[in-house]
Amino acid sequence: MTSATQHSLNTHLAEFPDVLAELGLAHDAAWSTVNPEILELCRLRIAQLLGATSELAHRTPEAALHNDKYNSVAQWPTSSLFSEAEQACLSFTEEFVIDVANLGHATAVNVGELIGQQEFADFVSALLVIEQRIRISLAWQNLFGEAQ
Amino acid sequence: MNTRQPRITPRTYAAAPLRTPLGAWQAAVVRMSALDPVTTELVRLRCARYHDCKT
Repeated sequence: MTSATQHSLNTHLAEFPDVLAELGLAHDAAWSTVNPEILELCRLRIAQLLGATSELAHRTPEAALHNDKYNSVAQWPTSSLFSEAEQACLSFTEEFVIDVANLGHATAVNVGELIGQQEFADFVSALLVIEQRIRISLAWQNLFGEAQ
Repeated sequence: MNTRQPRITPRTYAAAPLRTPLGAWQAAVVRMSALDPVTTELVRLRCARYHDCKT
Protein backbone atom coordinates (compact mmCIF):
# COMPACT_ATOMS: atom_id res chain seq x y z
CA MET A 1 0.00 0.00 0.00
CA THR A 2 1.29 3.47 -0.89
CA SER A 3 1.64 5.78 2.11
CA ALA A 4 0.33 9.35 2.00
CA THR A 5 3.93 10.50 2.09
CA GLN A 6 4.80 8.44 -0.99
CA HIS A 7 1.61 9.56 -2.74
CA SER A 8 2.53 13.20 -2.10
CA LEU A 9 6.04 12.65 -3.44
CA ASN A 10 4.71 10.84 -6.50
CA THR A 11 2.28 13.68 -7.20
CA HIS A 12 4.54 16.66 -6.74
CA LEU A 13 7.68 15.17 -8.22
CA ALA A 14 5.92 13.75 -11.27
CA GLU A 15 7.58 16.36 -13.46
CA PHE A 16 10.97 15.54 -12.00
CA PRO A 17 11.27 11.78 -12.41
CA ASP A 18 15.01 11.73 -11.79
CA VAL A 19 14.58 13.37 -8.37
CA LEU A 20 11.72 11.02 -7.48
CA ALA A 21 13.66 7.96 -8.63
CA GLU A 22 16.84 8.88 -6.75
CA LEU A 23 14.91 9.60 -3.57
CA GLY A 24 13.20 6.23 -3.91
CA LEU A 25 16.54 4.48 -4.29
CA ALA A 26 17.95 6.30 -1.26
CA HIS A 27 14.85 5.36 0.74
CA ASP A 28 15.12 1.69 -0.23
CA ALA A 29 18.82 1.75 0.63
CA ALA A 30 18.12 3.25 4.05
CA TRP A 31 15.84 0.33 4.98
CA SER A 32 18.18 -2.33 3.61
CA THR A 33 21.32 -0.87 5.23
CA VAL A 34 20.16 0.04 8.74
CA ASN A 35 18.51 -2.16 11.38
CA PRO A 36 14.88 -1.78 10.24
CA GLU A 37 13.39 -2.03 13.71
CA ILE A 38 15.51 0.86 14.99
CA LEU A 39 14.81 2.89 11.87
CA GLU A 40 11.07 2.24 12.20
CA LEU A 41 11.09 3.44 15.80
CA CYS A 42 12.90 6.60 14.74
CA ARG A 43 10.55 7.12 11.77
CA LEU A 44 7.58 6.95 14.11
CA ARG A 45 9.19 9.38 16.56
CA ILE A 46 9.91 11.82 13.72
CA ALA A 47 6.27 11.55 12.63
CA GLN A 48 5.10 12.24 16.17
CA LEU A 49 7.34 15.29 16.56
CA LEU A 50 6.37 16.75 13.17
CA GLY A 51 2.67 15.88 13.43
CA ALA A 52 2.75 13.66 10.37
CA THR A 53 -0.40 11.68 11.07
CA SER A 54 -0.27 9.65 7.87
CA GLU A 55 3.21 8.40 8.77
CA LEU A 56 1.92 7.27 12.15
CA ALA A 57 -0.75 5.18 10.47
CA HIS A 58 1.81 3.57 8.18
CA ARG A 59 3.75 0.42 9.11
CA THR A 60 7.00 -0.39 7.36
CA PRO A 61 6.89 -4.10 6.44
CA GLU A 62 10.65 -4.57 6.75
CA ALA A 63 10.54 -3.63 10.43
CA ALA A 64 7.83 -5.99 11.74
CA LEU A 65 7.61 -3.86 14.87
CA HIS A 66 5.67 -5.34 17.77
CA ASN A 67 2.48 -3.47 18.68
CA ASP A 68 3.66 -2.83 22.24
CA LYS A 69 6.68 -0.94 20.96
CA TYR A 70 4.65 0.82 18.30
CA ASN A 71 2.29 2.15 20.98
CA SER A 72 5.07 3.14 23.39
CA VAL A 73 7.48 5.06 21.17
CA ALA A 74 6.76 8.38 22.90
CA GLN A 75 7.54 6.76 26.27
CA TRP A 76 10.94 5.47 25.15
CA PRO A 77 12.96 7.23 27.90
CA THR A 78 11.18 5.34 30.69
CA SER A 79 9.79 2.25 29.00
CA SER A 80 11.54 -1.07 29.61
CA LEU A 81 10.52 -2.21 26.12
CA PHE A 82 13.41 -0.39 24.50
CA SER A 83 17.02 -1.49 24.48
CA GLU A 84 19.87 0.85 25.34
CA ALA A 85 20.78 1.13 21.65
CA GLU A 86 17.20 1.92 20.67
CA GLN A 87 16.97 4.58 23.34
CA ALA A 88 20.24 6.12 22.18
CA CYS A 89 19.02 6.25 18.59
CA LEU A 90 15.68 7.74 19.64
CA SER A 91 17.43 10.38 21.73
CA PHE A 92 19.64 11.24 18.74
CA THR A 93 16.57 11.37 16.51
CA GLU A 94 14.75 13.83 18.76
CA GLU A 95 17.70 16.23 18.84
CA PHE A 96 18.25 15.75 15.10
CA VAL A 97 14.65 16.78 14.38
CA ILE A 98 14.33 19.60 16.91
CA ASP A 99 17.68 21.40 16.59
CA VAL A 100 20.24 19.54 14.50
CA ALA A 101 22.91 22.26 14.75
CA ASN A 102 23.01 21.89 18.52
CA LEU A 103 22.86 18.12 18.71
CA GLY A 104 24.69 17.08 21.87
CA HIS A 105 28.17 15.61 21.70
CA ALA A 106 27.35 12.93 24.26
CA THR A 107 24.13 12.05 22.45
CA ALA A 108 26.02 11.40 19.24
CA VAL A 109 28.98 9.58 20.79
CA ASN A 110 26.63 7.31 22.74
CA VAL A 111 25.00 6.04 19.54
CA GLY A 112 28.36 5.21 17.99
CA GLU A 113 29.51 3.39 21.11
CA LEU A 114 26.36 1.29 21.27
CA ILE A 115 25.78 0.36 17.63
CA GLY A 116 29.27 0.75 16.14
CA GLN A 117 30.97 3.47 14.11
CA GLN A 118 30.03 2.22 10.64
CA GLU A 119 26.47 1.57 11.76
CA PHE A 120 26.34 5.08 13.22
CA ALA A 121 27.35 6.63 9.89
CA ASP A 122 24.73 4.50 8.13
CA PHE A 123 22.09 5.42 10.70
CA VAL A 124 22.62 9.18 10.33
CA SER A 125 22.38 9.02 6.54
CA ALA A 126 19.27 6.84 6.71
CA LEU A 127 17.71 9.15 9.27
CA LEU A 128 18.31 12.09 6.95
CA VAL A 129 16.46 10.34 4.12
CA ILE A 130 13.53 9.39 6.36
CA GLU A 131 13.24 12.85 7.90
CA GLN A 132 13.54 14.69 4.59
CA ARG A 133 10.82 12.59 2.94
CA ILE A 134 8.43 13.35 5.77
CA ARG A 135 9.26 17.07 5.93
CA ILE A 136 8.97 17.56 2.17
CA SER A 137 5.69 15.70 2.03
CA LEU A 138 4.28 17.60 5.01
CA ALA A 139 5.24 20.92 3.43
CA TRP A 140 3.39 20.02 0.25
CA GLN A 141 0.37 18.67 2.09
CA ASN A 142 0.10 21.91 4.06
CA LEU A 143 0.80 24.19 1.10
CA PHE A 144 -1.80 22.55 -1.10
CA GLY A 145 -4.33 21.71 1.61
CA GLU A 146 -4.06 17.99 1.00
CA ALA A 147 -5.31 15.42 3.47
CA GLN A 148 -2.58 13.78 5.52
CA MET B 1 37.34 27.77 13.24
CA ASN B 2 35.39 24.67 14.08
CA THR B 3 36.30 23.59 17.62
CA ARG B 4 33.74 20.80 17.80
CA GLN B 5 35.06 17.47 19.03
CA PRO B 6 34.86 14.53 16.60
CA ARG B 7 31.79 12.38 17.17
CA ILE B 8 32.71 9.52 14.92
CA THR B 9 35.93 7.80 13.91
CA PRO B 10 37.60 9.91 11.19
CA ARG B 11 37.01 8.79 7.59
CA THR B 12 33.95 6.76 8.52
CA TYR B 13 31.30 7.21 5.85
CA ALA B 14 27.91 5.70 5.22
CA ALA B 15 28.13 2.43 3.30
CA ALA B 16 28.28 2.84 -0.47
CA PRO B 17 24.87 1.22 -1.13
CA LEU B 18 23.33 4.04 0.93
CA ARG B 19 25.82 6.85 0.29
CA THR B 20 25.65 6.54 -3.49
CA PRO B 21 21.87 6.96 -3.98
CA LEU B 22 21.79 9.65 -1.29
CA GLY B 23 24.41 11.63 -3.21
CA ALA B 24 22.61 11.00 -6.49
CA TRP B 25 19.36 12.31 -4.99
CA GLN B 26 21.05 15.48 -3.72
CA ALA B 27 22.68 15.97 -7.13
CA ALA B 28 19.32 15.55 -8.86
CA VAL B 29 17.82 18.20 -6.58
CA VAL B 30 20.66 20.61 -7.35
CA ARG B 31 20.05 20.11 -11.09
CA MET B 32 16.47 21.42 -10.73
CA SER B 33 16.23 24.86 -12.30
CA ALA B 34 12.68 26.17 -11.77
CA LEU B 35 13.72 28.38 -8.86
CA ASP B 36 15.69 31.54 -9.70
CA PRO B 37 19.36 31.66 -8.60
CA VAL B 38 18.94 34.42 -6.00
CA THR B 39 16.12 32.63 -4.16
CA THR B 40 18.05 29.37 -4.44
CA GLU B 41 21.08 30.99 -2.81
CA LEU B 42 18.97 32.49 -0.03
CA VAL B 43 17.50 29.05 0.70
CA ARG B 44 20.95 27.46 0.60
CA LEU B 45 22.35 29.99 3.06
CA ARG B 46 19.35 29.58 5.37
CA CYS B 47 19.78 25.82 5.33
CA ALA B 48 23.52 26.12 6.01
CA ARG B 49 22.84 28.35 9.02
CA TYR B 50 20.12 26.05 10.32
CA HIS B 51 22.39 23.03 10.02
CA ASP B 52 25.46 24.92 11.30
CA CYS B 53 27.22 23.79 8.13
CA LYS B 54 30.59 25.48 7.64
CA THR B 55 31.17 24.27 4.09
